[in-house]
Amino acid sequence: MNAMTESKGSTLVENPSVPTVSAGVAMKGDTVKVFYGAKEALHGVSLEIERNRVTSLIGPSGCGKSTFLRCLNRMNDTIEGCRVEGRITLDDDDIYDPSLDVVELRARVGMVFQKPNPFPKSIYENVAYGPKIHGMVHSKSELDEVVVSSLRRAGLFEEVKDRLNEPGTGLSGGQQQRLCIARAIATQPEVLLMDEPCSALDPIATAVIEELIDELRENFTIVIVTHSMQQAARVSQKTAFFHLGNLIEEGPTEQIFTNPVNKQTQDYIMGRIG
Amino acid sequence: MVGYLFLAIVIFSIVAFFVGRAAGNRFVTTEGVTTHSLPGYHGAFVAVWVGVPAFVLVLLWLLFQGSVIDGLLFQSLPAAVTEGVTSAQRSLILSEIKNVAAGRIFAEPSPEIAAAAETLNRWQAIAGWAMVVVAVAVMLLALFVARSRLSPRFRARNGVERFMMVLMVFCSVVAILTTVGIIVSLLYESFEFFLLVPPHEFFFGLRWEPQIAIRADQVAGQGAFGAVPVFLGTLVIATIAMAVAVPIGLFTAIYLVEYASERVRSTVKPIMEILAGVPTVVYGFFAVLTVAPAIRNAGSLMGIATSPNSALAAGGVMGIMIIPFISSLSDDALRAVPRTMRDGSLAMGATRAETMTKVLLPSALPGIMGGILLALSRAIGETMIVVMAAGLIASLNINPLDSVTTVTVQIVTLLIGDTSFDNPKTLAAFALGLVLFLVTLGLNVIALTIVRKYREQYD
Repeated sequence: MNAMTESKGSTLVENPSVPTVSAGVAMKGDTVKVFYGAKEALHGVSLEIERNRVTSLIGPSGCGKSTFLRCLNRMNDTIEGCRVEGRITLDDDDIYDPSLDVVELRARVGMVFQKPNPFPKSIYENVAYGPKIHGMVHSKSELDEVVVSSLRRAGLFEEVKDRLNEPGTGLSGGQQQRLCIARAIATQPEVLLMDEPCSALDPIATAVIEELIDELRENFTIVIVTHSMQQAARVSQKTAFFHLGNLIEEGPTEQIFTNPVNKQTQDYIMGRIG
Repeated sequence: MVGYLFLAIVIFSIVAFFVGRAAGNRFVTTEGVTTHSLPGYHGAFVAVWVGVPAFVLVLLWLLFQGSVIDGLLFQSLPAAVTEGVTSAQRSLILSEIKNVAAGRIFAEPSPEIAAAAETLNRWQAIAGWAMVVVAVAVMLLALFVARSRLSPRFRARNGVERFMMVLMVFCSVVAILTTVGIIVSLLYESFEFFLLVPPHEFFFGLRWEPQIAIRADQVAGQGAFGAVPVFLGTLVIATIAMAVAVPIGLFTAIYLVEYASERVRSTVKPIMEILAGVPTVVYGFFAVLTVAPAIRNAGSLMGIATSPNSALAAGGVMGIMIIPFISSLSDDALRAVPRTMRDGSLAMGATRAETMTKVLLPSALPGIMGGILLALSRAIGETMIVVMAAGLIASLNINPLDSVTTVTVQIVTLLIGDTSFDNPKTLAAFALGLVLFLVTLGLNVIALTIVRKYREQYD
């Protein structure tokens, strides 16, 4: 991939901004296999991500849940020697199709990382980054509006409204993570991927983020990787259990946690493995 | 003889080591684990005691033997010879005695001198043997004392460790003291220079013609010590060098960090390091024999007057020389930006180019600036390339196709040939050196401060 020739479609601006009605499948993986060099890390995972739902991926470390998550916005492309087989679709378009631009894909599928990673810029600039690079705004006032509304939706605006020009790295850990969420939703993505977003945070900041995830569900489809089963139970409607590169079981969260079919799932949820 | 003495000290120390270790081994067999130090430490302790005092003693002896004998010898001369001589004459007389003593006789020496030469030879022989005897005595005494201190609970390890620490402190002090010595000598000679040439003339004068007569019979210019043209020439060449090196180095670093595959990187990086290892005199050849004629030919084809020693040739080649500095320091700075930063930007749908210009470069900017400043100080202080490829005549112009001279070139030419330390021509070199030193020191301090500040940012 040659980044110099990456182009950006103007389609992003006309993107249907927010799907309001929960309807069907947003993303779908079909026998997804991932190889790191010669090593197969994911052995054919098929999973549907439902629109306006929170899907949580759980499982012990190294089970492939983060790998699967990173396939959904092709962040695995940035890892040298990583190869993906199978088919992943976003609104029935194959995201690994050569005709699809990865830059556009990532604008539609946003991501929040394990460790808060605000850019060493001001709070305002952090949130304005996405809208600016995608040419989504045409005036300063429009940009202001996007920044304020994104911060508001991330539940951060009240805390930072007086210091938008101070560096984002000066915020507390929980605030930084909400800033990263605001940054991610500023480009109006359809799907928001979260890779253990609370693992670096204290319980209070975690509670704030979990509440936020529940609110964001109205406007976004969310996929969250988590190590905490309580968290998966609290925030998600659908849960998928991964083990050793396989998808063991998936289903409505309530069912997975109260009445799992598979023995391995049962053991993991009871705390016997993992 | 001195060589044998040093060899003897080494052998004595080795013997002392085995003596001490044997004692340590005995403690271990009789006392078992309650022995404080390992046998090797007992050995090292005795060896240090035997070797180091004797070694220091011999060094001091050699250092002071000459001047002590000189003093005694001069006093032993009859008053008729020593009456009212200046210190210069004194050293002349002494060196004559030494020449005679060594058998280098140019003319028949006076009887006093011949007698003194004989005395000198005798004293030197005595001093040599005395040194050997004293050194051996010190070693034997030390061996005895150190060996008698050994016991099972004796803290030989702590003693050896303390000695090693003192040794390390000494080594680090050597570098510091040398630097201080250089600064002091620069300051002193510069002060002498500024007594002869007023500072305002040196710093603001526009004419630089330092080739004045050192001896009365020399034909030379009147002399002018206005250093502005020299500073300007340095500035021109450094600017050309940076204009070549900064873009090339920076783009190389960006390519290697962000775009190059592992295979390209593993080829390009070692080649860049080879570039950094090329001796500057080879760059000098390249500048003078390849680049300068090429520029002159190109200039004459286009009908532009080009000097054979153009600033462009010297500066351009110097730029190539410092590319590896900038590229490798920028590479480090870009790589030090946490991966999460890069991932965060890419996950926003930024292209790699946007990630580079909007996130990575701003984050790495302090480190890159530090690298550029270090390269600049290197360019200003670089000597060999400009001595070979830049001009000698200081002219007040900034035309890169013309010949300019630099501070380093002038220092070299001022110190070649006749030198005399009461003459502004020679002393001017020290004043130039002082300015050069202060400028590069300042640049280095700024660069290192910036780099350090930046390092702390992600901790």
